[in-house]
Amino acid sequence: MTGRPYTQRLAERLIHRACRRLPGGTGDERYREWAAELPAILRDPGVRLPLLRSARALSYAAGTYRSARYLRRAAAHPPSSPRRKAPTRAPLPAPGSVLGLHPSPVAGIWAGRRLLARFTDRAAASIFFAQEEARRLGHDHIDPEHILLGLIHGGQGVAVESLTRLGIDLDTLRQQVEESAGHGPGAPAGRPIRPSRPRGIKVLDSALPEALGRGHNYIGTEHLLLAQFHDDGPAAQALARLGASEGEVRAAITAVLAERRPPGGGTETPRRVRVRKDATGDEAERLRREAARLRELLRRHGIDPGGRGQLDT
Amino acid sequence: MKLTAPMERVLRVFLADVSARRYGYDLMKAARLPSGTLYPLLARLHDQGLVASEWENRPGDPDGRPPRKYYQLTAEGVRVARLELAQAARAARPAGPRSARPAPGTAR
Repeated sequence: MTGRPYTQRLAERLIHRACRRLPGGTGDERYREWAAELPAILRDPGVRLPLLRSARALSYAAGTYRSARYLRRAAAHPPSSPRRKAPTRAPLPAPGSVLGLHPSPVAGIWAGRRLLARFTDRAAASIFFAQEEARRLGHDHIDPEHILLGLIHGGQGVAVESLTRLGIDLDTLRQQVEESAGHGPGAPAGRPIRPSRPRGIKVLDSALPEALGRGHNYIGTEHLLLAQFHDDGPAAQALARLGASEGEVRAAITAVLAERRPPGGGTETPRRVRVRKDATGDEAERLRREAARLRELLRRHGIDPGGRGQLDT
Repeated sequence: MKLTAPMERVLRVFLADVSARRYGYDLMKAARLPSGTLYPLLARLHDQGLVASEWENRPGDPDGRPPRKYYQLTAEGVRVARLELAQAARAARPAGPRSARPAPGTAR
């Protein structure tokens, strides 16, 4: 049961966000209803592997987004008024898809899926961490420097590897960025922390051309790192001070990617645009990937996922 | 009520034991539906008065589990669900040699 507390907290947070925009006092009640299901899922004796129970809990939480959307629309268009096309006409789920995860349960929080579906898991997670970093520093927006802090926070991926290869100490970088970013007055509670305009948005947007320029069809941590150089704020300045110029970072990334490519492939599996196809894909393969993804997520937070060996290929 | 396949599954689960109170995860597992499909269906059934919900009444809380919300078909819900499922079954029956056999009780 090692994974429980973190997964439960994450799932509760997802549900909380799903319920936030529900009309009137219904959000609060729905939150209580949906969060109350989590213990049963996480202790389900019918699912032996802790990892799969965690996957179910997150999948459940992600599903509440759709439920909340339905409830919002239903409240806006009561059945007595001329009915719009039923928003619930969901396709029949594939058997066992209860276990499946929403394509991007973490990243789907603040942005449309159009952009984030192309993010690798680590890139998506680093955006999530960027949000946390912004909150921790008392800022109410995600600026480029928070994204860099988010990349460091993730602690893995091509971006971090490339910086390490350049001999940059991540802790020093983090300190420098934090110092120049400063502390803010605190983010207003209950308001989502979104990328700032224009700087945060610009850096996020620049990640796409960086990816396309390299012929990648996904956005990974390396593209988010390169996007930092499209801004000249604290993050880019700290990088330059520590000797990571744009050219050197580019070269380091190329080297790291070249090392990863050969046998075995990269560990940073791009999700690509395959999100849709998953439904028809091989169920076992999909589950295996989801499990690996969750395991990675848990490990990144220092939680031993358990159930090793049984799921590893 | 429009009887979609997920709706049919939910109704079947409810009808399997009309006296049972069921909570969300329980229904999800029994009907094999994800939460994003199940709750909208429950909300629709609830709005139509076919399903009633109630909060679990648990003063003592030994294992720290918060109270759940339980769902159950209303009397009207049981009637409508049986009717809908019966109609669906009749519509699904292939019109072949089988239909030549008179339904029980209709032979003269």
